[in-house]
Amino acid sequence: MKNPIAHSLSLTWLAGLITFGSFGVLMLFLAGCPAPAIAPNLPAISEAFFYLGTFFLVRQLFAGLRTFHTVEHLLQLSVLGLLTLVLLLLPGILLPEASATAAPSRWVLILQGLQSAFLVFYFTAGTVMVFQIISSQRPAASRKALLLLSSCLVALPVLQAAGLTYPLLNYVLFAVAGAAGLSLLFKVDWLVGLDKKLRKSTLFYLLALSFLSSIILLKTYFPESGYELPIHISQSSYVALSGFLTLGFSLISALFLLFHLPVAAILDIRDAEKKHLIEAGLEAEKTHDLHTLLYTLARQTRSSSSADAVWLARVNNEGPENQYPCVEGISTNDVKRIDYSLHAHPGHFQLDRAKDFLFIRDLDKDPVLGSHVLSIRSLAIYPFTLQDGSEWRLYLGFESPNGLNEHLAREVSHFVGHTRLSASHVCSLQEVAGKARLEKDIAIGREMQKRLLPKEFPLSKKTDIAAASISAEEIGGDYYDCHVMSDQSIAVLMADVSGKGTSAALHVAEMKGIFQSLMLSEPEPEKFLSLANRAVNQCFDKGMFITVLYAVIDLNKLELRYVRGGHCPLIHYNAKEHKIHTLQDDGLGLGIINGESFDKTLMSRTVKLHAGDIIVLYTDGIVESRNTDDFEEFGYERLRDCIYLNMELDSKSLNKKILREVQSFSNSSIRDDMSLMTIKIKANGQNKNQL
Amino acid sequence: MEIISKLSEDALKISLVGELDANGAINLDRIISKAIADGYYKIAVDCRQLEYISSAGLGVFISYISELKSHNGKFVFYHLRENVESVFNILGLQKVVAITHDFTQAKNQLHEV
Repeated sequence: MKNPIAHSLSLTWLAGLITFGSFGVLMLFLAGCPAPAIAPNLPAISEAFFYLGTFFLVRQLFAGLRTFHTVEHLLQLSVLGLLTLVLLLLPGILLPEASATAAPSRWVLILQGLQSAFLVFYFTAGTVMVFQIISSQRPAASRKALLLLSSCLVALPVLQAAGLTYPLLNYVLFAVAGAAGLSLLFKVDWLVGLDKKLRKSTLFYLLALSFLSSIILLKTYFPESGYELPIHISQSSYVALSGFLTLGFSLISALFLLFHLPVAAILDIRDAEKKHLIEAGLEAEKTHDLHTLLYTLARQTRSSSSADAVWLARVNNEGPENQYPCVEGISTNDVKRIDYSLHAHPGHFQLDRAKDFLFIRDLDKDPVLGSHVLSIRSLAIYPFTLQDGSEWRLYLGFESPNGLNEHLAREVSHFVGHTRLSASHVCSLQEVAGKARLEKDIAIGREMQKRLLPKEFPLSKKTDIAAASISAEEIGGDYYDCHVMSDQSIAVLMADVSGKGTSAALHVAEMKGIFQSLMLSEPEPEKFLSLANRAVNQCFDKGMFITVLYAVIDLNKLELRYVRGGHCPLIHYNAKEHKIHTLQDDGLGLGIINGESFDKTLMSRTVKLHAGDIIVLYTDGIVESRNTDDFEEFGYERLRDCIYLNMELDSKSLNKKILREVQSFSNSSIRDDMSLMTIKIKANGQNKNQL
Repeated sequence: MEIISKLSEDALKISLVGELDANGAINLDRIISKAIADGYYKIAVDCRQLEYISSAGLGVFISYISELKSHNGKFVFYHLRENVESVFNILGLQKVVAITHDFTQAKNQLHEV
C-alpha cells in the first residue's frame, strides 16, 4: 500500500471483516444453532436482519471513505473473495466424506456461520462497489436504476421475513431488480477514462473478481454432495441478485477493458501528441518576439510530428524568392527548388478547400516535384497569414513516402492556427509599441517646435506685440520671431515650412538659426529674403519650401517695410483711414527657385503707420481652416472682419479672440498649425494726435 | 487621387481629384517621377476637381520644375478653383508655372516653349 489513504482503506476493510466474522458467529449462537446453521430453521426475521444489516453496514463503510479509489477497492474485494472461496473450499478439505451426513459438530457450525457471513459480505460489498463506481461516474443517469435495485434488495428479504411470500410479488420484485441490475452492468464508461497506468491492474482485478465470483456462485449453487451450505442461495433472492450483479459487472467490465486496450493505446499516443503541442503552444505564447515565436512553431511541429525536415517561408507574392527564417534538416537549395516548383505550378499544389494544409505523398512520383532529387519523400505544407498581412508557409518534410498520418496532420494544423493567433497578438503588440514610439516622436517634435517659438516679446511704450499658436494633431512647420534692433526698430517674421511632422519641425529649427543671424546682419527686407532663399535652397530637400513674411517696423519714422516670400498677405488696419488692408504683393516662396531669378521676384514695400494701427501676421492654418459642415474656408474676409470688430482689444486678447473664432468656425477640427502675431502701435507713441 | 492620360509623345495630362494632402503627395510624386522617366516633360494638370492642395502637394510640383525646364518641358495648371488658385498666387507659383483657364489654353501653353 503506497499511500496513507490506501492504508486506512485496508484497515477499514479489515475492521469490517472482523466485525462481520464475529457478527456471523454471534448470529449462530443467538439462533440457538439448530442444524444446519442459519437456514432453514433460522427465523426469517433474523435472516432478513442479517442481509439488511450487512447491506447497510457495507454502505456505511463505503460512505465513510473520503476518497474512492477504484483499483484499491477492487484489490480488497478480490482479497475478500479469495477468503470467501477458501472458506467455501474448507469443508471439502477438512471434512471427510462420511462425516458430512453426521450431525455437524460445533466447529462445522462455526465454519458454516463464517461461510454465510463472508458470502453475504462479499456479494454485498461487490454490489455496493458497483453502486459506488457507477454513481461516481454517472451520478444522474443511473440514479433511478440504483435506487430501484437497492430498494428491491431491501424489500425482498423484508417481505420474506414478514412472511409475505406471495410468489407473484416476489417474482415481480426480482424481475425489476434483475432488469435494473442488468441495465447497470453495461455502464462501462468509467473504464474509458482510466489512467494508462491503472488500466492493466484494473483488468487484472476484474478478471480475478469474475473468476472468484463464478467459482463462489458455482460452489453455492452446486455444493459438494452431502454438504449443505448454510444459506440457501436458491431461496435467497438477495444473495442471488447481489451475487450475479458482482459477477456480471466484473466480467463485462473485464471483457470491455480487454477489447478496449488496443484502442486505448492509440488514444494514449494521440493524447501525448496533443499534450505536447498544447505545451508548445503555451511555451510559444510566452514570447513577445515574432521570430522566436515562429521559430518555436517550426521546432515544435517538427519534434511532435517526427518530421525529418522543417522550414518556414515568408511568401513573396510577386515572385518565387521567399524568405526562410528557419530551415532545419534539409538544404536551402532543396527548399528553394521546392518553392520554385510550387510557384511555377500554382494549380497543381492547390489547397483542398476542406483542409487548411496540403500533404503530398510520394514526392518521387509527383509530376512536378518528382524531377528533383530531394532528401525528403513526402511533404506537408501549412499556409497561414498573420495580422500584418504577411503570408507564411510551414513545411514539414519526411523521408518516408507517407510521413504524416491524417490525424497528426490535423493536430499540427490546429497548432499552426494557435501559433498564428499568438503571432497576430505579437504583431498587434508591436504595432501598439510602434504607435507609442511614433506618439513619443510627435510629442518630442511638438515640444521642440514650442521651444523654438519666442515666449516673450519686447515690451515697449510704443508697441504692443503678442503671438499665439495652436498645434494640429500632426506637427506643422509654423515659425515666428521678433527682434528689437539697435536703432529701436523691430523686425518681425512669420514663416511656414512646407510639409508636416517631425521633419518640418527640424527644418524650422534649422531656419531659426538662419533667420536670427540674418536679422542681425542683413535686416533690410529684400536682402534678408534673398539670403534666406539661398540658405533654404542649400539646406532643404528638393520640393521643400518655406513661406516667409518679414517686416521691419521703424518706430521713429513710423514706417513698416516688409517683403512677402510667398506667405499669407499681411493685414494692416489703418487707424487714420479706419480701413483694413490686405497687403498682397508679389513674392515667391523660399526654396522654389534659386539665385537671381528669385531675387527678381522680391519687392519690398513701405507702409506709413499711425498710432492705433494694427498689423497682423498669420499662417495659412487660419485662413484655410475649414468648416466641417460645408467645407467652407475661414478665409481672409472673416479674418479681417474679426480684426476690425475687435480692434479695441490688446494684442494678446485679439489673438485669442481670433483663434477662438477660427476654432468655433471649424468646430475645433484643426487640420494645420495656426499661428498669429499682432502688433499694435500704441496711441501714446509719437503721434498722439491720432485715434 | 489622380487620373493620368497621355496627350502626345512627350505630353501628359494629370487630373487631380479631391484633396491633395501629405499622403496624396507621395503618390503624386511617384506618378510624376515615372512620367518624367518615361520621357513626358510637358505635363498639363487638370485641377477642376481639386478641392484642396497642401504644401506637401505643392512641393511635389515645385521639386520637378527645374527638371522639366531643363528638358524644355513645363507644368501647366488649368481649371483652378478659387481657393486653390489663391494658394498658388500667394505662394507666387504663377511666376514659375503656367496657370491657364481651360484645357485648350493649357495645350497651347504646353507646346509653346
